Amino acid sequence: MNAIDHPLVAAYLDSVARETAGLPAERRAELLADLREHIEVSEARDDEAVRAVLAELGEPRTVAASALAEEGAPATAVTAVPTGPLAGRQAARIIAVLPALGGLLILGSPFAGALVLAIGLALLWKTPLWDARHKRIGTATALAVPVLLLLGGLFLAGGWVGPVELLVIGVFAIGVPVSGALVLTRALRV
Amino acid sequence: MVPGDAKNDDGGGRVPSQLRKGVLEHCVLALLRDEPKYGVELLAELASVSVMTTSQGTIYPLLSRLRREGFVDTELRESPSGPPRRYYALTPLGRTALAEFAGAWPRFRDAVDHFLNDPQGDTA
Repeated sequence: MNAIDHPLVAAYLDSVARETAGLPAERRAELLADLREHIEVSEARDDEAVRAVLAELGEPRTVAASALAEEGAPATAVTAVPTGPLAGRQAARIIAVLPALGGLLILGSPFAGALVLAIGLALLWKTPLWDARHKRIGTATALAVPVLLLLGGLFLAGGWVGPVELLVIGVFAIGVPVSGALVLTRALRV
Repeated sequence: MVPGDAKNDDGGGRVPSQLRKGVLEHCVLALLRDEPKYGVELLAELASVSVMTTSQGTIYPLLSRLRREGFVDTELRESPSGPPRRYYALTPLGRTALAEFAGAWPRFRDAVDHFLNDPQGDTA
C-alpha cells in the first residue's frame, strides 16, 4: 500500500485542512499538495514508518500555524479562525448544500424554498471556508433554479416549448444546483 | 533525530523559536547555493542541525513564500525510484539575498557576542 492511502495520512491531511480554514483556498491547496508529496516521496510502507514521517512533519496545528503566519495572519487568527462557529466541518457540509437545497425546494414549495435559499446564501457568504470564487459558483448554481423556473414558465405561457424542452429545463434545474453543492463540498477537502 | 535527547535538544523553546524566525529562510537559501534540492532532502539537512527545525512540515509554507517572493524556483523532476520530486532552485534574486545575509551575519553575530561576553567594555 502506498503511504498516501494510509488512513493515518488521510486523517493527518484532513486535520491540517481543518486548521488552515483561514488560509486562501489556493494557498491551502498548495500546502496540502506539498505535504502529500512529501509523504509520497518518503515511501513509507508500514504503519510504523508512516507514523514516523507524520511525527517528523509535526502537529497539524503547528504546521497550520506556520502557514497562517507566513500569510501574515495576526497571531490571534491562528486560533480564532478554525474554531469559529461557521468554520466547523459539520457546519461546512450543511452550508455547502443549503443554497442548492433551497433552490430545489422552490420546485415544491416556493416560500420555504426561497427562505432556505436566502439563509443558505447568507451563511455561505459569511463563512471563511471558501474563497470568493467558490462563493460565486455556489450562489450562481443555487439561483439557477428560480431563474430556469421563471424562464420555463414564460416559455410555456408563450407556447414556445413542448414537453421535451420542459424536461430538459427540469433536468438542468435539478442538475445545476446539485453540481454546485458538489463543487463546494469538494473544495472543502482540496 | 536522536531519540534520547529529543526532549531538551529539539529547539522547541521560546528563545530558539524566536531566533529561528529571522535566519531560517536564509539557511534554506544557503542549502540551495550549490545545487537544487527536493523538499525531503532539504528538510532532512535542516533537521540534521536540531536547533533549526522542530516540525519539518512548517518549512513548506516558508518555501511557498520564498517561491512567491522570487527567491527560489520549483521544478518537477522524475525520480529513478518512486514519484516525481519537486526541486527547489535558487534564483538570481535569491542569490543576492543570500549574499546580503552572509555579509550582515558576522557583524550581527559579533555584536551579540560582544554584549553577551563584555557588555560594559570593561571588567565587571
